[in-house]
Amino acid sequence: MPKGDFLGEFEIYVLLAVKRLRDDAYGVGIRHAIEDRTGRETAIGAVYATLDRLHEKGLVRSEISDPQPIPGGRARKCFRLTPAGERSLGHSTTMLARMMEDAAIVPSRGKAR
Amino acid sequence: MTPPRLARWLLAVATPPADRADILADLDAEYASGVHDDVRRWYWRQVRHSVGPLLARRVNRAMTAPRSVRLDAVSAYRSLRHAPGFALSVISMLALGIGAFLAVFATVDALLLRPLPFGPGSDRLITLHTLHPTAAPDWDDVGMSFPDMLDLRRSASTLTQIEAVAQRDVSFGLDNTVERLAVASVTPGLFDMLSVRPALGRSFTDADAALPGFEAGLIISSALWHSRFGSDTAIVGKTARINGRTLTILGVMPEGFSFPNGQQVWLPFRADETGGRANRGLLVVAKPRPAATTSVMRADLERVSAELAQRYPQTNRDWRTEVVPMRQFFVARRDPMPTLVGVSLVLFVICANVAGLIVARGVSRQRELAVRASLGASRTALIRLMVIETSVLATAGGLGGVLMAAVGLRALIRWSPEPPPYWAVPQIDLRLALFAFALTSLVALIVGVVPAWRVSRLSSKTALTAGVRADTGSRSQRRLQQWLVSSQVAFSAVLLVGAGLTTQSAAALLSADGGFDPAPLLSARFYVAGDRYDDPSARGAAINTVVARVAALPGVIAAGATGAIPTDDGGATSRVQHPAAPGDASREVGVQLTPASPTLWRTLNVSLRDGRAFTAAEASSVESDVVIVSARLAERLWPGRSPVGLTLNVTEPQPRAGHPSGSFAAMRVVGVAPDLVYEEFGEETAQSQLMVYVPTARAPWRTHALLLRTSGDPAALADAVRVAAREVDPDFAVFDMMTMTSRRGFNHWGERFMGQTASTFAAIALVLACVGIYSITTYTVAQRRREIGVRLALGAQPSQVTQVFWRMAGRVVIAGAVVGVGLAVLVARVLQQRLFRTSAWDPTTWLIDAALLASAVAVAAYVPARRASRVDPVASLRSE
Repeated sequence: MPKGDFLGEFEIYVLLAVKRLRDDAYGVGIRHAIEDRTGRETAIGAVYATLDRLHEKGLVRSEISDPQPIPGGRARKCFRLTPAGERSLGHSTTMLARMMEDAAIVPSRGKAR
Repeated sequence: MTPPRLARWLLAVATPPADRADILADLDAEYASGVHDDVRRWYWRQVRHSVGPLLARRVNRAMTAPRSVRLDAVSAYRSLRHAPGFALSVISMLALGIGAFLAVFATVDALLLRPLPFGPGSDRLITLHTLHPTAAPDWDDVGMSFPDMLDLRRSASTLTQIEAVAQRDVSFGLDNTVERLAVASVTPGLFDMLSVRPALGRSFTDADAALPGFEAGLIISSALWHSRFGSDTAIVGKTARINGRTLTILGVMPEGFSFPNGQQVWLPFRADETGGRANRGLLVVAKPRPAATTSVMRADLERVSAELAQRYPQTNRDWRTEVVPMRQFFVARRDPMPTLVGVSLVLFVICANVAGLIVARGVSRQRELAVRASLGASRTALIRLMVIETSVLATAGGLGGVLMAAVGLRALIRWSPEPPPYWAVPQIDLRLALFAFALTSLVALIVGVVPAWRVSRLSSKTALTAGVRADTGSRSQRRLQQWLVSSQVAFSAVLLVGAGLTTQSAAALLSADGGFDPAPLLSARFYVAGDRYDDPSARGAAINTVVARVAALPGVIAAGATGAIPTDDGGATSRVQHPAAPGDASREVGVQLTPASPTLWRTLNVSLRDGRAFTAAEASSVESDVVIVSARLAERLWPGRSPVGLTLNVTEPQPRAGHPSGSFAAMRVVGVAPDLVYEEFGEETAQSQLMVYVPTARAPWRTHALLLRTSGDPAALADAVRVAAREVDPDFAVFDMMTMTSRRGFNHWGERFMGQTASTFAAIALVLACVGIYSITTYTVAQRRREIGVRLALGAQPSQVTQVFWRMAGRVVIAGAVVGVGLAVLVARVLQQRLFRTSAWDPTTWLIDAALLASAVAVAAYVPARRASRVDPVASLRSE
């Protein structure tokens, strides 16, 4: 398969966060999701730049949500996986899992905040 | 609680507009929420780590927008095809500017930027020169003597290696042919110091070193190996004749090597170690110790010079040693920087002009751009469209420029009588092509940024209306164009002044009076080759015979010999004692000494001021004790008196047993010669015209100059002169033969070329500035037709209307001229030291230039301004 189809580590994080958050997958939410699970501070710019790249690759799409139901609530840009994004994420994570099996690495629970 | 303003601003700049509000609001909210302990630091961290990825992403996006860029390029090509006149004039102007700049830059690159073609470290090599207070400080022709060089080798602590080169011409004989070749006698270590090894055979060793004329082996250049030996790989061990002696070929130097300049043959060199300390003719090259700075080296050499002066006061008192980087020594008078400045100005004028054209074109396209904007083209897209259009133009111009530069350089090298040093032949190679690309991008940026910036300020609403009503929203537009035209006028003024001054200086050089009429004269040099002439009296006799032979040729009125060709090169630097204080070394006078045949002055058609010329007997005796001095030297040494019959102590012109080099010989003055110019014009020094002439046999230099005054065309005698010299001895080669008039042109080719180039540049700039004035006035008139119609309808006189536009053009020109004159003053100040008998503040030049500029732009502005007054008020009002 062409090498361009491999996802970077951070791209995988972002895609997984988008998938998990479903309707709440907008910028700051994604950032918090990654920060909470990886325990490392993540820059908002890095998240947006990655989302933009994934969008260009056709792995995510965005839509403008309804305004938040609070006074002064804003309409936000919400992200979703495209079918291609689902496939790509599935592929990458499967490969990763297989490689880990071969190396007999047991995923640790890590330290989440 | 608000985030740090600077950080927030940075983030806003880096973020794409679509996401800006979201990102800033989210961070603001989190900032205010109190989740973070040190919230300011947290915010800054966010910004720091966000700016990089965001900017990288934006750049990346801009680069990988292939579809729209391709579309834009196609659209640019189409729109340019619909304006072929515009496209062609812009492309040809850019090609001209870029081509000229590139050609000049290629010479700068070759002379100053490219590494020297020798081994590693050769860029640090220096040349050593000796200076005497009586000589002008830029007297770089003075080299060093062999014994002084040996002493430097022993005592200079800052130099690790010192080698010498003696340049001379020899008769090179192979089979039945003889030709004159430039050879360099080099000390055996020289090639090693340059890190250059022979391609075939071996280098010189210390055992090879011999006095000139006693060498046993030689090394030849690759060029000679190809042309004369058919690239024979078994050449080592074969022989060739140098000045009639048979020598063994030891090796062949690698392709392209021709050190120091154009030499084809190298001989192993050593000189007499005891005598000849006053014989400062060697080019000495040295390698500094790794950490030695120039000032440390100077101090070191100063110390050694002082020691030498103390030990050898006769020859070394007051002589200092000067350090010059080797590259600088070779580049010296070929400094290309002034031309580069001139050509940059032309390029600027062209850029300003092209930018003006593009802005003007942008005006007519405002409507198209506005339509694009209202159909959803973003501001970025519009700017990109403009940028791509200028890039297409600049690329075409750049390609044309590279072509022009390649052709121009070839012509330049072919027509140049003084070729650049062999290691610095300018050419368009990959480096230059890359530079051309960078230059073209810069040009595209300069000419494109202004129009693009204009478009970016265009809001779709105003643009649409502006497209409909041509006379609104154009104020800043007009101001911009005026500014561009002003800058063209300014640069033109600078170039005009530069051209005026250099042209005048070149004319002064060509018409300068050398003290004689060059028209009927033929000049040449000849070399007295062969062991038979080692004896000075044999040499003297041979020279006198050659002179007698050519004097007898039909068509020759008179012929004479001297040490150097007047107005071409000087004599030998020498010294005389002041007659009022013979023992006082501090009052010694630096002079130029040269041999002269009795017929020299008759040949030049000048008469002696006082006394008589040499006699034939004096001319053939090595013991002659007579001299003729120049009028200026006579006035200096014996003010107001005739020196004829008086004694003058001159440094020994022909050192021999009992008369060591540097000792003084008592000579009797028999005549006073009119002042002639021996040095090239522009190279005169304080002692140039302080001449001492001695009879031929008293200083029978191997290279002599031959001068002939002819009744017909001097050039027609060339062959007869060659034959006559060969009849005296088949090994005598006559070379460098030229009529005196063409020699003058040849010597000052560089200055003439500078003058012509500057004039061409100035003419181009002036024409472009006029085009600028013309088009801006025409444009303004066109825009204000309605207003003019109203004014005329209300009773304004046509002359009043014309005046409005005159005044506008006048403001633009005066603003440009004021700035231009300011810049021209700076340029003139720099030029001053390069000008020959021309003052940089010469009022005629400045007035002529001012008149030229004023009249040209006046005509350019008058035509359209006059047209304004002829506007038909009825028609102009109806047209809207």
